[in-house]
This record gives sequence, structure tokens and C-alpha cells, in this order.
Amino acid sequence: MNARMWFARIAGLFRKDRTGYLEEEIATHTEMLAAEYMARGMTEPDAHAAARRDLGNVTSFQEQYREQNGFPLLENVWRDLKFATRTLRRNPAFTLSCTATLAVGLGAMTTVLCVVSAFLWKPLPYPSPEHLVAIKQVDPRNGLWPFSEPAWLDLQQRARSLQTVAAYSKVQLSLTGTGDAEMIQGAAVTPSFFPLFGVTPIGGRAFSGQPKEAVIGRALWERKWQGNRAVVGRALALDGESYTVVGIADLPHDVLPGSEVLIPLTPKATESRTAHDIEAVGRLAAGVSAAQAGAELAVIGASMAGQSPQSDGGWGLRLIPLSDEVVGPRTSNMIRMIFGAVTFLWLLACANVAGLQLARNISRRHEMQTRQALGASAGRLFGQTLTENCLLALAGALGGTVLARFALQAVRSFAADSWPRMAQVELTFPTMGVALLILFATTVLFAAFTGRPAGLQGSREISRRTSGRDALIVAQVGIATVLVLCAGLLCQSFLRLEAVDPGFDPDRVLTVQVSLPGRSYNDLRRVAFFREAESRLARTPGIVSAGATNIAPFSGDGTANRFRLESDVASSEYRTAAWRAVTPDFFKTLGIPLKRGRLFTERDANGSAEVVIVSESMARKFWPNQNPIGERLLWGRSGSPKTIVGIVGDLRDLVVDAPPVPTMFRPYPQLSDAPMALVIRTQADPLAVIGDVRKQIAGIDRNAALTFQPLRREMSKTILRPRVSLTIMAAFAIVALITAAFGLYGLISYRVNQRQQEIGMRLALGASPGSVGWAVQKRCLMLVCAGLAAGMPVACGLSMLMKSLLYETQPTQPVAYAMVLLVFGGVALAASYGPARRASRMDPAAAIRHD
Amino acid sequence: MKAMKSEVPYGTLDLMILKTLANMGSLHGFGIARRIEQVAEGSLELNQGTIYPALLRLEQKGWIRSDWGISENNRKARFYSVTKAGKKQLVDEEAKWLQTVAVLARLLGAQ
Repeated sequence: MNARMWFARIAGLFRKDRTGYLEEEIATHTEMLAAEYMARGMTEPDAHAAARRDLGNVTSFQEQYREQNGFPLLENVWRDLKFATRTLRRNPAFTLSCTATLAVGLGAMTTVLCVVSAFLWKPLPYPSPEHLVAIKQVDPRNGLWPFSEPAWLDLQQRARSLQTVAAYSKVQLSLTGTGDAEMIQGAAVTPSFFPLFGVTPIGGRAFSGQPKEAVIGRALWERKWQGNRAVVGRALALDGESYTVVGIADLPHDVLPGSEVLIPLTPKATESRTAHDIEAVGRLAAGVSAAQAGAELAVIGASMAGQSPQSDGGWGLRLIPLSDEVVGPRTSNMIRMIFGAVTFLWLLACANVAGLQLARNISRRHEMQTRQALGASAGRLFGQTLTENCLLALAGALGGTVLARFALQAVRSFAADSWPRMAQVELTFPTMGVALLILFATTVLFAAFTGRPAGLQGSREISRRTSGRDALIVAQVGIATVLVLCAGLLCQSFLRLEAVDPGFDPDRVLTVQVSLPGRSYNDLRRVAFFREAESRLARTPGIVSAGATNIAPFSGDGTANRFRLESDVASSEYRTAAWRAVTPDFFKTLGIPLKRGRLFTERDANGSAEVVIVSESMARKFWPNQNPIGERLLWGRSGSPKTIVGIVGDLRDLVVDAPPVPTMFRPYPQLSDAPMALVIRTQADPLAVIGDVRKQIAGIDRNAALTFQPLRREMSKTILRPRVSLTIMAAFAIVALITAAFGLYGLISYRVNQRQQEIGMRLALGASPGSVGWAVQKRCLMLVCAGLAAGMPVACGLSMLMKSLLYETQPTQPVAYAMVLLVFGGVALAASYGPARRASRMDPAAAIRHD
Repeated sequence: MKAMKSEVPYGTLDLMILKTLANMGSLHGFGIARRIEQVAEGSLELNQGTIYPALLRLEQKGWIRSDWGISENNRKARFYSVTKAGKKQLVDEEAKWLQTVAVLARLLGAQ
């Protein structure tokens, strides 16, 4: 068909009656023929009859004419659409439940696809992301560590398989001189960091290798300088030191979430090899595979271990794709679990909709049979069903996309700025496309399975279809079992996590990160500052006590060092433990109990005997069955001896889902170069004293930058991931339960309707209403039991895969299964209550007469 | 007994109409039917109504155009005539048909 024909046909569509002048032309034609016949002597009626005979089958060519003036296939579709809209509107309960089920299923599916795509599929948004790697130092006993500065220099000099090697270290810096002193996140990075991540300044330039340069991120630039480019070249006071702003850039969010400023990092060979505090990242050289680079790194690691056996003996190097490092195994496990869950949810939604359609097809069989008898072809009937399904799918798609938008907003709001890759969780066309493809593929399948014309088969066909519905219900219950069980396990695990005793009382405690303006403070002044701050705060109304530590609990940071035991110095073996520099009131403020010996006092000052307090687990680990008090340990590389004066209770101040780490505490005056945080115990809401704390600290130094966090909130942030997985799984499980319950209800009440006569007969013959009701409920319970029997083994198998996501929760524990049984027992009874009641109250006479 | 009448061979009605209009100038549907029957001399079974879908088809293709007019017996009738594109098409179609017919004649004659 050429363009002209298209045009003519489209124009034809709009012609008044689509047969145009045909009526008139035929009339004229008939008249002329008749006139001719009459001229030959026929009577008028005969002439007209003969004329019509000559013309042939008028209806047939009128039809042909009409079809030519339009698009018959499209018109069929259009008619089907109109008809489908009408039938769907006439049956709002069916339409709504199908649409809602599809919308929820598709919404969940789309949301999860977006998350999966952002975390696991999309490459990192940096140049040739597949070649980016993270490199770790490996302690065979304690896992992966960041690099020490000398080790990084070794790596940089020797690694041939890496084209670029960069290092970064996250820092917290106080920003002063631009309004209120403010604590900002930042990172110290080597100059190679810029080309590695394709960080190109929007204004100014990258690092030139000079010290005291700063590149500010776009957010900070817009917040503090309203996007004014004149800031390049200005001085910036970070931690009290003057930096020059040399550039403005978009910082790589996935590597440095929340960072707003970059300062130079210059690793030095003279630094300690036991201080692992810089992260190494690199790009594979062209044509080098990760395996080849890994082999080279193994060689370099072995030679480093040989050169510095004291610090690096036994250690090695490991290469990790940067995308894995950024997302982390726990997050990717969680996302895989959620993806699995949403697949189940989708299958459940499909089973539900299929069940609804089967039910409706049974009730529509008269209509279908009539239409078939009137000559509708199987193809036309299938087309009709398909059209209806497509309409439902379309409504579901609209609803689902809207739901997905809101759900994604909720997901992002969990932790967009601190969770790498979360910012890229968005509704994209490819993910929507995949979701819609799945939806429409399922729709066509539905139509194929449920939309076959019922034909003229009798009741056998119908009973087959009811058993089809049974199977669908069993499938739904089975899937819901899986989801509910998994959610139950996560819930139990989460409750255990929430109930973990961190070894101190985190309620009513405020932590204050303090950043002092750097070089204007020497060690003595710093110690004096915190002593003054503590005593001022302790006198402030509403505050019970205040202490200080170099690591605020749950701040995400930790410090560890190696040491040797004096009693075992011959072995020259280094041990590792976490350490904290604290003030005497730290223990009292957090409520960490003293188990033996003494706490620190003001007399443990710089210059007096060096002392250390160890945690119970440290005492148990290194001095089993001994009293470590009075023993000495040799600190770090310097090996300076510290005497153990006390043992305190264990604490978990990094994460709650790992056993307490052996920890040593040192008096702050004896280790005063560390940045510190205040911990403040308050009488009431810790947030209420923030103003007073600010005032008190400003009274000592107005340039001290402060960041406040209630400790309880910091603690719950560490279980963000379990909280997110639980929230999502619980939502899925609840949706699954509701869907399955409604499915059950629908099927059971259909059964009761279908068997009205039989039930009425039974009642009339003397069956008790109770027994009739129980028969209905028994049927429902049997379906649920079948579902449970199908779902439980699957759930059991799948929950084993979840093991890494569970905290102190056995996937196979009977409690969870018992709970699932109870829940579904309840669902079965609730779903069958109404129909059972109806059955038992049926009026036998009316029921028997029922058609 | 009537002489054997043959059905209108598939696809030839368009060509017949086109040729008729080219020869006769402007004609209404009845006139076209009458003319084709005259030429066929009773050897063609023509359902006269089928002319109308064919006329619409030709018009949609742009080979003929139509206008209202008054017939010889004073009736309002639609008159069809060939367009320029239609004349060109007719030349092509005629050549094609003559060729087909010649091939067929040779084939049949060879037996």
C-alpha cells in the first residue's frame, strides 16, 4: 500500500457511513437496469427483481466496499477494545483485583529491577569501569586491610600490570572561616586519583603535587559559595590550616560517599608499616586481565613480606574489582535475596490473576459458547481474551509504574548519601522496558492458558478448570509460605540485632565529633582543651557526665595496632587488637563496667608510667586463665612497654552483629595526637543539650567544629542493611499473605455457590449446620496444607542461602516454621469463615431450588 | 440454452474498467457495466455490483476520479473518468496483459 492509499483509507474512515455514495449509486443503477427491463416489456416488480439479480450480492460488495474504506484488522482490535472496556467496567471487582494485583507485583518488580540494575548491573560511572580495581593487604589471620603508606609506595613502584595506582583516605575536616565552624567529610587523595576516576574540574584544576591544595565538591561549592567560580584561588581553613582552593569538581560519589572536599595525600616511606590507613585503587594496564594482575600482585606481596618480615611477614596482596568493593558482598547478597523474593512475589501475583481469570471464564462460558455458536472463530475469541488481558496489563503497568516511583523514593531516602550507588537507583527506561516486557509476556501466556474458548465441552471441562484453580491457590500459598518464612527469619535476626547489648548503655548519650583548628594546638593544649571541656560540660545542667575518646562508638571508624606480649617476647610474634585513647570519665559516661583493677585517673598523665586497660575478651584471648593485671605489652613497632592496670567489660562499638573485638584503652594524655570525640550522658533527650554544649565549647575555643549525633541513632544506623532487608521482605510477605488469603476466599466462596444444591440437600437430609460449615473450612485447610507442604521445603532450601544475612538465627529453627504454620492456619480459617457461615446458614429449600 | 458464461478472471475487472473509461470518456457505474457486457457479447458473468468496490479501489489508487452528474434519463449519478496516472497505468497493464496472453496462446497452441 502506498501513501496515497493510506491517505484514501484514512479519509474513508471519516466518511459519514463509510459506504460513501454507494447507496445512491446502487439506487441509480437499479433504476436504470429496471427501466431497461421495463422497456423490454417487464412489469415493474419483475424488472426490479431482475435488476437486483444482475447487481449480485449487494451485502457482500457493500461489506467489501466498507472494508476498503478503512482498516479491518485495526477496526477489529478497536471493537475488541471497546467491548473489553465495557465488560471490564461491568465487572469492577474482578477488574480492580486483577489490576491491583498486577500493579503491586509490577511495582515491586520494577523497583527491585532498578535497585538490582543500580547496584549489580550498571557499571561504575567512571572511565572504562571494568578495569578499575581495589587492592588490599591480606592478613592470613584477619582478612583484608587497607594499605600502609610504605606498602602503597612499593605497590606503586613495582606493579607493571597496573597502569595507574592511586590512594585515598577518608577524613573528617573542620571548615572554619565561612560562617559557623562545620565538620565536613572529605578525602586525602594522591594526584593520580583524578585521572583514575575521570574527575575533571568544572573550574580551576586538579592537584599539582603541592601541599595544602584543596579541590571542593560541587555540593559544597553551591552551598557555601553559591556556585561562584571566584572561589578558586581563595584560602580555605580546614582543621585550622590554610589550604588554597585550586579547583571545583564533581567528586566520585560511589568511592567517596558524602565527601565534599579533596586534599592532597603524599604517602611516605618513613611511615609505619603497621598503620593500615590508606585505600589503594588502580586501573589495569591495557590488555592485562585481572588474573594476570593478581598473579603479579602475589609476587610483589611475597617480596614485600620478605623485605619487612616484622610487619608484613605472611601478608599478601589481593585484587578486587572496584565495583564489588564499592557495593560490598553483604549488600549484593541482600540485593540478590530481594530479587529472588520479588520473583516469587511476581509469580504469586500471576497465579492470583490467572486464578481470577479462570474463575471468570467459568462464569462466562455461556457467553463464550453463544458467541462461538454464532460463528465467532477461535481466533476472534482468543483475540478478545487477549485484548482484555492487555487492557488489564496496561492498567497494571500504569499503576505499577506509579507505585515504583514512590517505592524508589522510599528506597533512596533510606540512605542515598552514605550508601554507594544508591544515588543511581532510579526509574530508567531500560528497567521499565524489562519490567513491561515481563508483564506483557505473562499476559500473552495468561491469555493462551485461560483464554481458550470454553468450547461446547460440558462439565468435565469445568471440573478440570476448577482443579486448575486449586493448583493455582496451592501455588500461591506455597509462594507466600516462602516469603513469610524468609521475612520471619529476617525479623527474628533483626530483633536479635536490636537487642544486642553493646557493652554499654547507648541511650541518652550524645556523641560530639570535635575538630580543633589543627596546628594552633599542640598535644598539651589539646589535652587541656578536652579536660576543660569535660569539666565545663559536667557542670552543665541536664548533663550527667562527659568523657572523650578518639573513636566515637558506631562512627564507622576504628583503630587497631599490633603489639607483642612481654612474657612471650622471644616469639617476636605480633598480635593485633583494637585500641582507643580515652579520658578517665569515658567509662563512667558510657557505663562500661570495670571488672578488675582500676580505671584511669588524672594521674595517668603524659610522662607518668604508661598504662593500658584491656577488655575482657582481650584478657581472655591473650592471657587465658591468668590475671593480666601488672603484665606488660610492647606497643606497636616502637615496642614501648605499657602496664595493664585494669580490665573492663567487652564492648561492640564498630558493628553490633560481630562479637566484641579485643580492645585496649590508653589514657588520652599518653596518646594525645589523635582527633577526639566527646561522649556526653544526658538526663533526658540528648538532642536537647546541643545548644548548651555548643555554648560551652565555644567558650573554650570558638573555632572548634562540632558534629552531633545521638549514640542510639548511630547504633541503629549500623543495622541499616538488616533493617532495609527486613522492611522490604516484610512488605513482600504481607502482600503475599493478603493476596493468597483473597485468592483462597474467592475460591472457597465460589465452591460454596457452586455446591448450593448439594449443601441444601445435605441440610434437608439432616446434616447439622456445623458439619456443613466445617466441611467448607476443611476444604480450605486442605488447600493451605497442600500449599505449605509445597512451600516449606522450598523455603527451607532458600533460607539456607540467606544464612549470611542472618544474625544468630538458624534458618532451620522450628520456631519460625511453627510461626508460619500458625499464620497460615489463621489465614485459612479467616478466608473460609465467611463462606462456611454462609453454607451453614443456607435455607435448604431455597438452595435446592437454586439454578 | 445460453452460451457458456465465464466468471470475470481475478484481477481483470480493474483493467476492464480502466480501458472502458479510457475509450468512452466519462461514464457512470451502470454505463461501465453495460459497456463491458456489450463488449463481452454475453460471454461474461458480471455481477454488476462488484464494479463499485473496484471503482473505489481505482479511485483510491488515483487512477480514476469521480464527479456528480446527471444521467441521460435525468438521474443524479456519479461519473467516472481516467486520470493521467490512470492512462499511464493502463498502458503498462495492457502491455503486460498482451504479453501474458501471447505467452498463453503460444503455450496452448504448441500442444
